[in-house]
Formats: sequence, C-alpha cells, structure tokens
Amino acid sequence: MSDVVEKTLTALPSLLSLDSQSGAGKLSSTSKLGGLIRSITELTSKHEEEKLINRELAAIKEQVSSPNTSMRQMKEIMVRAIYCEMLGYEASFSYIHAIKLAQQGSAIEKRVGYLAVSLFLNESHDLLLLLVNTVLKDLQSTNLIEVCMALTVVSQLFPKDMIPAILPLVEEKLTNPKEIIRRKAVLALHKFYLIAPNQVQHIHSKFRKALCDKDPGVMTASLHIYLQLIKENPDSYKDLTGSFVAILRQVVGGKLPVDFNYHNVPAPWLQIQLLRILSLLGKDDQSTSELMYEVLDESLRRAEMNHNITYAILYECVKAIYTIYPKSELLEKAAKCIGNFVVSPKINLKYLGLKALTYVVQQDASLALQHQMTIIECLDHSDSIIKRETLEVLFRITNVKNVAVIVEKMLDFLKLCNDDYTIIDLVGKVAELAEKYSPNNEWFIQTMNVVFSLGGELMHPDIPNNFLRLLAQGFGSEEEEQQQLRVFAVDSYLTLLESDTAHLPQRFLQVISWALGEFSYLKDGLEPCKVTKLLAKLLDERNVTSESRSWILSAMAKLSAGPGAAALALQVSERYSSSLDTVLRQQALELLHLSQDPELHARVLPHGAAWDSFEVDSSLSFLDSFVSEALSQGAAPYKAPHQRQEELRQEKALSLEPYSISLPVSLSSCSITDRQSPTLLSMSSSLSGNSNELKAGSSTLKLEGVKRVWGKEGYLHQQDAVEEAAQVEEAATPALPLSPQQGGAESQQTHGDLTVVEQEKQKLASSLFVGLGSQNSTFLMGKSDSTSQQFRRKTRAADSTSSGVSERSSSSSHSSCSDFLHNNLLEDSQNSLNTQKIGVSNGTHEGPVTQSFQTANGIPEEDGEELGNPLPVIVDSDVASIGTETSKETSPFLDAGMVLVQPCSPQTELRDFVQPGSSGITQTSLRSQFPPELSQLPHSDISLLSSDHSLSLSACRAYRDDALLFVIILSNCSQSSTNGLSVQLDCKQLKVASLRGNALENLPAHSMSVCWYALLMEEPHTQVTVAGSVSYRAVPGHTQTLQFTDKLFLTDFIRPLTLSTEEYGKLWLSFSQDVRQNLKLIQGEGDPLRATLSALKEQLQLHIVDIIGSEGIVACRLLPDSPCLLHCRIHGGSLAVWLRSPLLSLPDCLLYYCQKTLEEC
Amino acid sequence: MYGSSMRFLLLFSRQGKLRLQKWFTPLPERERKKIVRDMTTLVLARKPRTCNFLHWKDLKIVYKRYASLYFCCALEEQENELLALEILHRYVELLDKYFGNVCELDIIFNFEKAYFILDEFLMGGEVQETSKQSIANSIEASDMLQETMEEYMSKPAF
Repeated sequence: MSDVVEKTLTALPSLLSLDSQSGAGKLSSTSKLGGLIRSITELTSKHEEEKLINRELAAIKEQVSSPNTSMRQMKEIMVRAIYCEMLGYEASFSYIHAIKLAQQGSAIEKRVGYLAVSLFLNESHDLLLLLVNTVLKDLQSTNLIEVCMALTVVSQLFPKDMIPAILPLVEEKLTNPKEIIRRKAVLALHKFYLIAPNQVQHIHSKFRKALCDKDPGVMTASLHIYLQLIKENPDSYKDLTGSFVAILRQVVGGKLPVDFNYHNVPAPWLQIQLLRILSLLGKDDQSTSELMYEVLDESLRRAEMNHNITYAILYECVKAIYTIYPKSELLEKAAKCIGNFVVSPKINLKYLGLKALTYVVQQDASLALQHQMTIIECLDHSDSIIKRETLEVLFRITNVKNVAVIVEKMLDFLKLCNDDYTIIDLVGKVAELAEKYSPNNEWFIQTMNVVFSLGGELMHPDIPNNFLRLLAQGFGSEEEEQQQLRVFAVDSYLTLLESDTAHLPQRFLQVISWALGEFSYLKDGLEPCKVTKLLAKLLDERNVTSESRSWILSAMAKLSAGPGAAALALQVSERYSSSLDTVLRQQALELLHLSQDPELHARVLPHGAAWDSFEVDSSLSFLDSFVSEALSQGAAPYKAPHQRQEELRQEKALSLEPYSISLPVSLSSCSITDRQSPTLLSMSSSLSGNSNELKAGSSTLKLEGVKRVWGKEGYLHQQDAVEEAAQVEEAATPALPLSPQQGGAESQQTHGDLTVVEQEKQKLASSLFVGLGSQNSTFLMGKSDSTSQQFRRKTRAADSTSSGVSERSSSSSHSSCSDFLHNNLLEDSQNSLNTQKIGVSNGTHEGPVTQSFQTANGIPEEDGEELGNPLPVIVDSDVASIGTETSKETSPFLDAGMVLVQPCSPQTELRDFVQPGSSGITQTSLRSQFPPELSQLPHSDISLLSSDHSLSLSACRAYRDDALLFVIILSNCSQSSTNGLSVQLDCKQLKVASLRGNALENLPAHSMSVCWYALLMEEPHTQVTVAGSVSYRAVPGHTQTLQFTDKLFLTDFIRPLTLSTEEYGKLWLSFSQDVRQNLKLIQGEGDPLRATLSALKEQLQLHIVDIIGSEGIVACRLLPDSPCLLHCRIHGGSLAVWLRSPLLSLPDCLLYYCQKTLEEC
Repeated sequence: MYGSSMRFLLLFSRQGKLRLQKWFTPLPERERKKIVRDMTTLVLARKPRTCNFLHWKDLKIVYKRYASLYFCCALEEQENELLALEILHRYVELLDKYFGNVCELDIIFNFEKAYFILDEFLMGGEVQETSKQSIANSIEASDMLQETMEEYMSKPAF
C-alpha cells in the first residue's frame, strides 16, 4: 500500500504528467488551477480577487462553449469552475457542461463530472433530470468503478420523482458479488427511504437480506435503514432484537476482522448503531429489554476509558440503559460511568457528561445531588456552551424550592446571550418554570417582566397569551390571592410606564396595556385618568406598532368611563379616527362612543364581572334579521373569505398561493383575553398572524426602573427557608449515599475554615439542589412528569374557550403533583387527604384547594355544552364550503369529546374477562359497555392496552364523521374499588380535541367504565403513537399509575369528502402542488379502474366523485378538514395518480396507504 | 429536511477561507452561503481550551482544528458529538494516508481528491466505510484509471 501512497505523492502534481501526455502543448491543468490559486493568494484586496475571478470565469465560459474543447480539457476546466464556486462566485453556465462531462467522459473524467454535478446542483434543480439517463447507463455498466460512481451520486442527490426509474437497478445491486457495490446500494436505498419512503415500501424483505449479508460492511450499512424503520415503528421489529443482541455480542467480543477496528476498538460505529437500535426496541418494553441487559453490561465492562471513541460508545451505552426498561444494577453502573464523564478534566467529556445528566436526572434526580459541586463550577465556566448545558440540567431538576435560584441563573445567562435561537428556547423555559413553580405572586410578576423584556418579539406567542389567561382566570386559589397578583401586575406596570418606555418590546406593551385596562380598577386610590394618561403617552410613542396601538386603544376603552378620562378619550379618538389603519379607526370611534355613553359602557364593559358570565354569540345570530332584510332587498349572500379567494383565483390564470382555510385558525387562536369585546376577534387573529415577526434589536434591551424585589433580598429570604428545608431533608434521609465531593464539602464545613468563595458555592449548592434529596431511591416515575406537562400545554392550546379549571390551578396542581411524587415519603399523609378530595394530589404550599377547582374537575359536562359552542360554527362553515354534507348532523364537537364515565352494573360476568391478557375478554362483552352514541359508530376491534393487578385498559377506535374517537375502556378487576381515577392522553402530533379527559370518579370492584377522546390530525403522519397514563388509588393515599401506548394510522383520520364534479374541479384548481405516482392496477373481471378505485374506497374511506372513461376522480379529507384530491388515470398497465392537497405532506402519506392497500389486494 | 446523521461538513482555513464543502441535505444556495459565513465566524471566535461543540439553531456543530485547517460538521441534537469528532479525525487520517503528511496546501491544490476520499468514507451523511485500507484501495483503483486507462479497459470486468 505504501507504494501507492508514494506513487500518488510523487504524482502530487500528477495531472501535470497527464496533460503532457495529451500533448497539445498548452499549459497543464494543474498549473492552470495552481496558477489561479497562487495568483489569488498573492492578491491583497477582495476587489482584486473579484476582478481576477471574473476574468477567469470569462475564460472558462469561452472554453466550455468551444466545440474544440476535449473531454479531458473539460475535466480540468470543471475543477477550476468548482474552485471559483467554492470562493463564492457563480459559474452556473458550467452546470450543463458538468452533466455533459459525466455523460460523455471516460471513467476518470466522468468522476470529475459527477463531482461537479453533486457540488453545483441542488436536489430540486431542473438540470438534474438530464442526469437520469447517465446514471441509468452507469448503473448497468460492467465497470465496477462506474457503478460505484453512479451509486455515490444517487445517494448524494437525485430527483425524487425519478427514483422509480432507477430503483430496479439499484435493487438488483443488492445481490452483486462485490460487497462494495452491495454496501453502496444499501446506502442509496437508505437515502431513497428518507426522501420517499413510499417508493421503497415493497423491498423490506431485501433489507432483511442485507442485514444477514455475510459481509459485515453491508450488514452495517443496512442498520442505517433499520434504525430509521425502528424509529418509526418499533413494534414491527421486536423479533429482530435477538439478532441485534447477538451481533453486538460478537462485535464487543472482538469477533469481527481487524479491518473494522478503529484505534483497537472493534467496529465502534457499528456498536453505536446497534446500541441505538436496541434502545429504541427496549423502550417501555420489559420483556424485550430483558434480552439486552447482559450485552449492555458487557459493553460497559469491555469499554476501557482510554480513547475518545470508547467514551462515545460508553455514552451511547448509558443512554440505552436509561432509555430501556430500567434495571437497577445496570442503572447504578451507568450512573457511575456518567460520574466519570462529569468530573473529567477533559472539557469535551464534561460536556457530554452534562448532556447525559439532562436525561438521567429526569429518572433519578439524586444523581444531580452527587455532582452538585461540579455543576456549580460548570455554571461559572468560561465556556458558554458548558454553561448552557448546565442550565439544561438545572431546568430538569427544578422544583418549588429551588425555582428562584435556578431562574435567576437562567436570566443571568439570557442577559448576556445574543443568539436568537437560545433566547427563544431559554425564555420559554423560564416562563414554564415560573408558571409551574412560582413561590409567590410578586416573584412571578417580576420574573415574567424580565421574560417579556428579554424575550421581546422573539419569544413564542404562547408565553404572553398564557400569562394573560393566567391573570384573567387566576389560579383557582383564594380570590384574595388572585386579586393580589393582579394588583402586583398593575403596580409594576405603572412603574414601568412612568419611566422610559422606548426600550420595551411590543409584546410586553400589549401585555401591559391589556392588564392595565382590565385590572387597574382593583388598585385603591388609582384614578383611571392617570392610567389613561400613561396609555395616551404610550400611544404617541413613535416606535409603537399599530398592533400595539390597537391593544392600547382597547385598554383605554375599558377605562374611559371614569371622570376625567372622557376628555382624554375624546382627544385620542379625534386623532385616531382619521388614522389610515382601519382597525385603529374603528377602535377610536368605539372609544368615542363608549366614553360619551356611560350606560353603554357599563353594559358592554362591566367592571370585574366574572369572566364566565359572558356569552359570546359567535354565530352572530342577533344579526339574522338584518341579514334576511338585506337579502330580501337583493344583497348577495355572504361568502367566507376563502370562498371569495377561490372565486377570485378562478379568474386568474394561475394560482400561486397554496389553498388556505384561514377562518378556523384565526378563531381558535383567539384567546379568552379578548372576551370582552367581540370586535377584538379580528385583532387577536392579526396578533397571531404577526407573531412571527422577529426584531433582532430587542434582545439586548434591558429592563430599567423595575424594582428587583425578587432579586437579592427576595432571594436571600427564599434561601433561608430553603436551607432549612435542606437540613430537614438531610436529616430525614440519612441513607443518602454521599458523593466524594459532597462528603468532602461537608467535612470542610464542620472544620469551619471555608474560604468565602467556597462558602458561597456551598450556599448556592444548597439552594440549587434542595428538594432532590428525598428521592435517593431510583425514581422510575419521573417520566410521567414530562408527559403530563406536555398534556397540559396541549390542552391549553386546543382549549380556545378555556375550561373551568383556571390555568393557575392546573399549573400549581401539576407542580404539586410532581412534588407529591418527589416527596411522597415525607408528605404522604398530608397529600393523601387532598388527593382523596379531588382526585389529583394537590397539596400546594399556597393553601387549601378551593371550591372552584373541585367543581371544575368534577363536573365536566356542564362546561362542555357551553364550550362546545364556538367550534361547531367553524366546522360548519368550513366543511360546507368544500361541499360536504357531513357537518349537518354533527353533534357539538367538543361535547362528544368529553369524557363520560359510565360505571356499569352487571358485575358478575365481568370477573373473568377483565383479567389481564385473559382470552376471556370478548369483544361483544366489552362492546356492550358502549354508550348508545358510540355503539352506532363503526369501530375497530377492541384490544388490550395495558393492565396491572387491579386495573386493565382496553381501547378501540371509533370513526365519527368529524373526529376519530379513541375509546378507552377501564375495567377494575380487583376485589376493591379504585378511587380518584384520572386518565391522561398525550400525543404531540395530534390535536386532542377533548377538553380534558380526566377526573373520572370511583370505579367499584369488577366494574368498567368507558371514556373517549376526540382526536384530529392536523399535520399528516403515516402513523402516530399516542401515549397516556391512568392514575388511580386502589389503597387510600397510594396513587398508582398505569402507562399505555397505542398506535393510530393516517387512515383512521381519513374520511370521504363528498362533492360534485364541479366542486372538485374548483377545488383542484385552487391547489397548485402536484404529487404523481404510479400505482398497481387490480386486474380482475370487469373494469380494472373501477375495481381499483373501489378497493381504495373500501379500505381507505375515499369518495369516488366520478369515473369518466379511463379516468377517475376521488376525494377525501383528513380530519378535521384538509381535503386531498386524487386524479387517477389508466396509463399503460398501471394507474397514474395525481394528488393535490393544501397540506404538502398529505399526498405522500396517503400514497403510502394506497400502495399498501393495492399490494395487499 | 430529513435526517441523515450529518447535515454538512466544511473545511476552512484560519483566515475563514472555505476549502471544502459537502452538503448532505438539500439547501438553497443562499442558505449555504449564510451557513458557511455563520460557521466560520462562530468557530473562529471560539477561545482556546473550550469544548469542540457549539449550538447553532437546532443543530450541534462539532469542529476541530488540525494545523491551519478547521474541520467542522453539523449534527442533529440527539447525535453523539464524540463520535462526530472521531469521524473528523478518521477523515484527517485518510487524507494523511493518501497525501502523506497532509497539509492545507495539499487540500487546496487537490481538493477534488479530498472530495473523492470523502465520498468513499461518508455516503449520504452516514459512515460508509471505516477501514483505512479499504478506502485507500478504492481510491487507488479509481486513480489507476488515469494512468493505465487503455490497459485497464482491455482487462475483464472488475
């Protein structure tokens, strides 16, 4: 081999000799490229470089277009063109020549041609189509190197639509005798799978063959595909677990040829790939996990701590151990291993150790305790990346006791940060912590002030929205507490407005004006006209956007009733009634009227009325008579905006915009905070529309003039309490294993000769890590914390009209819930009292649970009716507009999404079939438990989800026209009754339309109950996993959780879309993007087109609109309301299908199932 | 944007001059230029004795300096940063084996060779072949074409 290197070395200016061979007597290519490079390095200014390159490009242009240029010369020209492009100059004229070179050159020229193509062109470039033939030819070449080149370029870039053309050839290469070809073919297929999964659906069996390939390299390559497949659907590949374990065992045992070693470590890339696959397979699956414990243990043992690559393997191993079903012995070893990482002097290892800690502490927070001194050191690390990762660890261990310190650390970091992405992320986390664990009102308001100032226009719009909702609804605790929060807010905002407001972000101004408008009356002795003056001053600021102005004006409208305010209002409204902005103009006029008519004002905007006393008639029925009158006088009937758009579009030749259904989005995004004036609806939607505006400058703004009450003083006060608590906890848990650092630190403390710095660190440590000590036992329930949190977020987003449970109460109950899990050893008795009362453990430090919270949780049906109102309107107008009749008899949407629990009486027969896993569960007996509205719906088979000794869960899917109902059947198979049942469902990809699904009542022994969620799929996915948990108490005071997961498929969310041929045509034209695919035709007796379409109709719930000759048009919709249109035509022996949909990924997902259906036929 | 484990690989000099770029996910030209600019500024601004990792948007940047050249690649959040460092290292070893004591000039003047070696090592953002020997063999096989084309063509198929 060395002679080869030598040869290439001596031939380093190798091309020189090559060109002298060509004998044209011109300058050699290397010297040309070399000359170019050299002259560039000699240049001193950018300007000179530009001139030189432009000259060079002109020369290249001339040469490439000359017919006399040989392929060999073309090759060196291409190299120069690549070089110019790398310097940032465009040489697009040479792209076509690169393709030509790949097409016509000899192997070595071809190689440069392919390289140039892959560097010049993008996957979507039109010229790429010209490459298809070349690739086809090279794939069939007998020359190994040409085949390799073709496979390489295919996996680098290939037009997605042309994959079918070369797929058979690539597939064929899987059986090539050369392993290098097989390996490249597998990787090319992997790439195809990533960009167009439906294209390679049918060759899964070949992947298995590749996995069993005798060459380890091919097998390794196939693991890339398997990792992807298993990521998407772990359940289908559980049977391979044994094989993967066996492979890993062999690799770890050094059974592979030494060729695969890397720095004496056997095939590290292969090991890591296998570890990843195993962790996916073992996740939440005890029996599968058991298969891999041994090999994971061996991997941990075998990896010696001596090289980066072994650290990489160890890290992956630890990750796997913490992902799969836990085994305490392994967890201990893994934790030790992470410990070594964290304390390592090597900074890269330290970083990775911290990264590992972020997920480890979620399961076992006491690990953070062991490393507290290291974590504190990392907090002050000079490298901000390390700091950031440390904050991430702290974020995961936050609780009610340490929240103030941790949030302060995060805000400190934020103030110095100037990366938008980090700011958005951290601000969101601070807001989440503040909501979840806020120790008191004042702290909460001050913290949110900083969040709004720092987050500016960058932060997620949910943050201000949630904050306002919290302010509006309170947190379900005492009214007094609630008022106090509002007064704090008003106070701090007044202080802010009195100082310079120029630096405040718009979003913050909007929050301020809303809160002042709504709650300033709560503050004793505050004249409304004082607030109005401040607002008027703000209104005149130059940098205030018209969106914020509109918020300010509506705040002023609310305040305009007071004495003195009217005059000011008059002044303001005069100025803005001539504004060019129609929204502002309208609001100014409203302000004028309201300020002059106190009676009207009192009726429209009553002070401090309970928020739920408002009934918004969003169907605007009070206008009915007006409308009918206008209609009778010949006015045109109303058309929804998108309908009008559509009509406009038909007049145009081309529609360039994607079809959008704007109405439901804007309605659902309008939050409760707008409730007081229906006219604000439009404004709030414009708010959400503008929310993506980013303003870079705002990130550096500092909040001036704010009392930092929660700063030093507040913090110190907090800390005292916290230290006390820490001591109590330490005393209570003497068995806590002390880490060396901690032990050392303690002994130092007793000797009493601490340096000041050390003391401060110690102090910080005790405040940071308080509340973690009580759970030194492995904490397996940790995961439920994150899921329930997500669920809470979800409901909040979906819940446009807001439920009776106030935001604050749900957040505090949540915090206390996790708190309960943390501290159950110590606070059991206290909590059990509360849990018995309300079904959710709710021992907040803030006081007893109030009545309102109880009712909110206990009687969901009542709100359901009321809350259901706005949505059916949307569904109606929307669905009707695309021509379905489905909405006509739709029951109020959310209404049926409510959880109804129906304990049932026939207890004797239940005894045998509710045993977990027993075959005695008959579909009919379970089905008999369905309430009438469910039993009429078509539904899937009932399957057992999960069970434990006292409860068993089954589920089925019921297909309602407007939603998929995920029906959960709970059966109590124990001898005693269970109490405080609560179901939580979580799926990020789906919209859970049910308002909240928990708070079931008690379930007597041997009885069952049924509840269901209405689910919608707003973003298409071929399949999604829903996870959830049921918590209940079989024994008083002892809450148990039963986790479950289930899979839902795209087809569950597909419904036929009934429309006429004309409507179809209109709709078709309104979408622009086409996806095309050839499908198999079903060849049977009769018309193959009809047979194929009806097979699709049967299986996938499509609607056949019309069949004309050899063409058919088919339509369906994805719940809630995304249409997908199919235009099918017999072409050759197959069915060519064009699909259009406003959702770009829907056609692909649907095609996947079409293919699957037809393959199975 | 779909997920190959590596999104892109860049080589640039201490002066911020781009020496090699490989994109494993399709990105428009303008985006690429912006990324190259961002990467050079971010990485060159790093102080000594900091870790070799960076956050950039939702990606992890892993970089390492070899002599006057920076090797820099982008990974998804859940990928293993140490492993990526080893990928960079192996690439340097491969270049070293091919050029013999490789230096920046070798890569400047023979950048197409550096690309060919990379294509043998990584494919679609995944590690394709880790054995130094095998990669050297395939590069050698391709290089041979250049000198003994005629002789080679007369041989039976490989």
